[in-house]
Amino acid sequence: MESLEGMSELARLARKVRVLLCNLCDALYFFVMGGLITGYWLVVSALLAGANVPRWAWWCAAAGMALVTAGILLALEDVPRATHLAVRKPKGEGLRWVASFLLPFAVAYPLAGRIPLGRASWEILSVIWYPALGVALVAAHLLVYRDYKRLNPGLFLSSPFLIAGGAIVATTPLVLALMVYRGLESAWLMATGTMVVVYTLTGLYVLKKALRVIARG
Amino acid sequence: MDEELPRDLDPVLMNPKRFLIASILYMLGPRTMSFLRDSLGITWGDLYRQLKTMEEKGYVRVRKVFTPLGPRTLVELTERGLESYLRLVEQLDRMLKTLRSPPP
Repeated sequence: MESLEGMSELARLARKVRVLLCNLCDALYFFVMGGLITGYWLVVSALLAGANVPRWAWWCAAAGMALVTAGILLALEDVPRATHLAVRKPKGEGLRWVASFLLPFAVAYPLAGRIPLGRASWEILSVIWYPALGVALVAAHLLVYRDYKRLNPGLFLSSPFLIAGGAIVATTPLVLALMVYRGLESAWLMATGTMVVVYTLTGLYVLKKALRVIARG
Repeated sequence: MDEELPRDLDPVLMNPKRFLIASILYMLGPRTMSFLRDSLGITWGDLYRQLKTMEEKGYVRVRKVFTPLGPRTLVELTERGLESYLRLVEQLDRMLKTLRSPPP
């Protein structure tokens, strides 16, 4: 019986560590994504800041940003993710992730020009990513994360995609109002800043939940 | 020990070394063979033997990956391995509960 107890105790500990790791990975992912997206857009802005930029400079900037994007994607491959653990995955998981993040942007960008906000369509494009990101995160929860939680009961302790997406959608009117009344720069800065705050708070929330697993003893 | 145990307990995972391997992979995700060998404190030969048994049963997948530090052999728990491990843990918990409860 002692060896059975030892095995059971080991399995209990393994489960705790697994839950902790899984949720730490989720928290880390939000910290990393928030930092990388913001950094990316700040670099884009820095490159394109200033008037009278010659056409070739735009092309150079675009090529540079494509390289930065590729670098970010490669870096993300190395970020530990909860799904790297042995977890039950929903069918067509990859496609669901792509659909969650592609469709909202694919719908939002063509619609941007038709939004009657008294601004040129290209101006609206620079802030429309914000609500599209919010919808994409909610879609990621509904299409992927919710199924992960259902298939792996007790493993994922929170719903970070729903929280972050909901917060971004809820703060969208503020960004749009700023665009209309205070100008594009103000709205863009507000969107970027709010996104970092939302991602960081979401990461902290998931981290707190994860650490409770250990605190429970 | 085997004679005292019910027959429906997974014989592959009831081996202590294989149970440890499954626990590590369940807990930490895919690991390299050298990590498993160091964690368990066993020889290469022993590790190969245990992994072969688990691989034949479809519990683990062994594959070569190329890392910046050179090629590594990665071991990961399969869906089948995960299900079997969880089922065994559940059975053990149930059995221990029965053994601990006072006789009527």
